[in-house]
Amino acid sequence: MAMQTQISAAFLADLDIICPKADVGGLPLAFLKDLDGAYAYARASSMRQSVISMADLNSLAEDLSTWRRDYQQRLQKYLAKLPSDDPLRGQVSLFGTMDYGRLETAHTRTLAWLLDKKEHGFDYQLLEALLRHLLNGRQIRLTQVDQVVSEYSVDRGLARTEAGRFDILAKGRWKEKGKVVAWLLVIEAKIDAEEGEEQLSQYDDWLMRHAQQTEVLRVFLTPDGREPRTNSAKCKWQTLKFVELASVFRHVSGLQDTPGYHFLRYYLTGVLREICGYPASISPDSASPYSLVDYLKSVLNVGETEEGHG
Amino acid sequence: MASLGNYMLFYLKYAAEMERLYEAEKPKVDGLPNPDQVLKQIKLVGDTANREVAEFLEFCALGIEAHFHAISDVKRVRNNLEKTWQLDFWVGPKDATDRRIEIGVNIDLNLVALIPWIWCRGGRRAEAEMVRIMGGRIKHCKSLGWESGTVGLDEIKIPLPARLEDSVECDPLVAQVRHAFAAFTEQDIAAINGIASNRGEA
Repeated sequence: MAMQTQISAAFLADLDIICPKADVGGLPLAFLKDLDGAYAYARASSMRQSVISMADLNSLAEDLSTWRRDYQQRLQKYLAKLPSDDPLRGQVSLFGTMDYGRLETAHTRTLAWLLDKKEHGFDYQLLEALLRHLLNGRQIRLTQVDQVVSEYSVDRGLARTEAGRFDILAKGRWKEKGKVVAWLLVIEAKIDAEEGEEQLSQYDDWLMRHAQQTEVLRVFLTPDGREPRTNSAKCKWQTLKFVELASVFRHVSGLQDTPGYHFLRYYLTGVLREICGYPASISPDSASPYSLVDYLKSVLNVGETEEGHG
Repeated sequence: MASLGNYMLFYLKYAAEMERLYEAEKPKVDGLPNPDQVLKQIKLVGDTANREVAEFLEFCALGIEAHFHAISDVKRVRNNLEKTWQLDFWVGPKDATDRRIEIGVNIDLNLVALIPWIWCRGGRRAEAEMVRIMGGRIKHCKSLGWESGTVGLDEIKIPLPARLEDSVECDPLVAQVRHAFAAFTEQDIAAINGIASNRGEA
């Protein structure tokens, strides 16, 4: 504690990054203090240097303001085309009502229910749309779904101890170019939590043992589409943002008369609000119009030629 | 530290653009005028802003650490402030064997504000308990959308000047951050530590 109070924490943190194996506690305090002093001087010197002139900073600000105005105009145009019952316009967030808007298990159990053939009346339309999105335009036709479950227990092989649980597992068969293919989809969702130690590599081990002769789709679902850290080097996990998932579901047509239509709307409103951070009331002069424009372009099928600039 | 850095203020003023052009792995420049030149400048501005933020948070840390050192056992979490924009400490009662309470300060880009906060294990129930223990002595900022178990202690707005040349005084902001934690006493830390010890997930 004595050393902690004499040496700056920023210095110790940086030292830890540059030299992670250094035994800081074992170094002479006088040496550390001198090094800390030199570090502070170097930092202060670098701060005093003007990285770009004030004139350039003002010019940069002008460029960014122009860009923002352009996107605000696009946002206004797209909002005018958006149907009144679109989830983006919704006021009710399904899980927000319970303060569970970012609760992973609430989302994954609901997702499994939505993807499965249940009382919502969607059949497997959402599952098929998601598979097509993940397959990036490949023309598959879903012919059989054997299972869609949440929290599927994964064992470690011979030891039979639990290595974890897939948030969602689905499997079945699809037809592509006249050929029947067995498929398996696993989704690992993370909202606020980080991956457990070796979490995805343990899932990869299980998949290699249990899903031979099967096309496996591994999906890492997060708010920002980040790459996973714990998968095995041989296995690629496809990243998927929640906003992309919302867009995929939003594209599925003909659900208006099904029993689950409004449930899905409220669910998607919650995803857009609580996970993607979109405001409850969207104003065309939003200071942050970019991701909203991206989302609206995708759900309204706006092409580059149709879009124009400025 | 007399005033906040100009580049930090620029970052806060153009947060949405910095997120898209600086923070993103692959910047999206669709429709951006002079994209190559802008991206070069954005990199310089972003890197410098990060250093200015770290400097400012270090300044905030001094008072917080001094207060909690007097009433508790406190340990600074070693993190890279330039990356996280988050000041972080573990806190526990002086006689405890471990520290179960986390306190800190974040700079929230959406709110353009400093958020002092306290966290302890136990989810929503722990939040409610902490608010009850502190009574009216803290501001309780709701709807931050943060990890459950976190209580926001204030929302200290960072004023953004109309002209980039203008400065923003640093001391009043630092004083407000310190004030947000000043209400905590040795007894409060013991009581909050008790929530973490007798936890049940809410």
